[in-house]
Amino acid sequence: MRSEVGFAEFVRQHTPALVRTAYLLTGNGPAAEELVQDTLVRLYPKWDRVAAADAPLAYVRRALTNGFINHSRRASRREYAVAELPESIEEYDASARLADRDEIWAGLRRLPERQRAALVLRFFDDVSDEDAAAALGCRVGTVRSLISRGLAALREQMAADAGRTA
Amino acid sequence: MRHHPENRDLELALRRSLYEQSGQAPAAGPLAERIVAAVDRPIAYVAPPRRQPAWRTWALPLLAAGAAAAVVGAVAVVQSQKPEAGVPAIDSPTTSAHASSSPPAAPTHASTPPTSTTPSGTGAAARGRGTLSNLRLLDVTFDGADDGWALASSTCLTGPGRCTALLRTTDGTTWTSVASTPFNVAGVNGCAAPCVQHLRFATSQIGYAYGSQALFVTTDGAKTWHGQTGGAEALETLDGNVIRVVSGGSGCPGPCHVGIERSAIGSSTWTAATLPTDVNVAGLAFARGGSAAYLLAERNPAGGANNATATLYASTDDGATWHAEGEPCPQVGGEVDSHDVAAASGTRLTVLCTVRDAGQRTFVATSTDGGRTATAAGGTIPVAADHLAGDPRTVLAAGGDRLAVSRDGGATWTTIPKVSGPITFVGFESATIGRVIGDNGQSLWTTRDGGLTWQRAAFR
Repeated sequence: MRSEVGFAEFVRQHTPALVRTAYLLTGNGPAAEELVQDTLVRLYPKWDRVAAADAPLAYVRRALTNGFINHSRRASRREYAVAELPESIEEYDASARLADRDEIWAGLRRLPERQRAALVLRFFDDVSDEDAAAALGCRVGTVRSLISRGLAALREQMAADAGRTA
Repeated sequence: MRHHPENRDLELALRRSLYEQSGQAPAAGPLAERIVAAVDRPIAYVAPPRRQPAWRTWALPLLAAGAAAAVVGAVAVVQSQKPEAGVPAIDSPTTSAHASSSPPAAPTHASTPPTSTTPSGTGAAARGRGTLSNLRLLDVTFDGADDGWALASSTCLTGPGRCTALLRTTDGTTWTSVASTPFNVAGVNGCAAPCVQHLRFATSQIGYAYGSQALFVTTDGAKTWHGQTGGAEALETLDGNVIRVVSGGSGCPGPCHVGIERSAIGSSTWTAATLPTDVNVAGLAFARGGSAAYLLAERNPAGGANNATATLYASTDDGATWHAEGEPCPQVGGEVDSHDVAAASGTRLTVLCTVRDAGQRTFVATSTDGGRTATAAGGTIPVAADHLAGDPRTVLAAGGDRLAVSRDGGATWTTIPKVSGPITFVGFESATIGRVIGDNGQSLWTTRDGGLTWQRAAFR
């Protein structure tokens, strides 16, 4: 019974933050709701373990990120999408495009799931590389690589978009 | 992490963008209450088990091209839309999709006419019985041009939360629901065990619902399902037999100790086949065509593990014996990763390739000798492709929100802007009929002319 109370309290307190993260991962409202619900319902049977964690929210966020990546993998049975990149980026002026955040959002949605998750964890949830690595199930070095590649892909996608609209 | 000055600006803009976009997230209060309520309900199926008929058959009458097609019993609203201006019309609205990511170029199995499933009744009656809403397709499989099944989740007819939905069409237009299934799907009850993600039907009667930890078989057209030992990472049926990819153990980025098992369709007896080596992977792709079968083992996690190459395992005898063919994508212009494989008849196959160090350019390579040698097609795929389907000439590539088609083996590509994402499935079931699940599971797109034109069925 104690765990059920803890679960309900946690859900009511932290679902807003989890939904925001899920929305940024999935780019889709219904999918975000599904992801959050799936994650929390899946954790419920072992809620004592979650509640005993040093940072229950980090624990759940880790499960949420894993759920997002695993669901994407199951759904497609393909791993590691790659970003669409331009043939050339020599003419690109990054600073001129940074104000257009819709463009960044569009680019983020085109990134492979793991790159997108790494960027969301780092730049929205502000988690450490170590926590991001735990959430993504990889090494710290891989997290840094994912972030670096994600940023590069975003920049290059924006360059490509700029080229198409020029 | 070392910061480049340009990176700091981009990071700042990214932070602002994420913050602003997070404001578009759904309201959390109602969801929190649904979640709290959901844990009190261990099972969330649509309807109690029904003895007969096997599935309900009420549906709205079809209203010309573009009308709302009904679906029902306990499930589904499908709307087939008019082809867009400038796109040749297809005679009748269709809804459907296939199962395999890789497509036999020739018909793969006999299309057995289904048992009595003709929709009848009226739309009002259908609604009266409860029409499912907020459907999300997870997988589709067709055992004939218009005979298909879909695995989905939907809003429950009673109570909060989402429920498993198994849909069937026998005319490619209307979809009816099978009353009850013994498994969960993604989006339902946290996909608690038994959890399945995929569906394949070999005939109108014999089908498989599977996930990595669960496998169910029906031999009576989904009236009853029987659980079998283990699960399947992938499974494909063809020519009266079925091959599943199994795994055991943990600790790998993807499946560990991958194995192959074969069976006659509908049988509960499986025979293990031997792979040349112990296979531990980050991801895998599985495809069949004719008597050939291909297992692509990916060992290169995104962003790391350089030199962890993929290996293509091939069989020419319906999965009885296997041999390794190495990395199928030509290693030209940097390290090239093999990400997906699609098989046609004979020994022809197509592989999705990504150059790591050249802007992650993606292209396809084709092989006519079962993967022993492959030639790069040359054309850069204009989408962030991670799904592949097609024979070596007609190829679909999808990723994220976009779909592209090549009709010349990957030399040139055309994007299909009317097909919207997120795209979670692409597949060909013949040389001309292909299916795509888009809009995050709310749309099923069908082509009957090798990707030239597409028609959408919208699930609401």
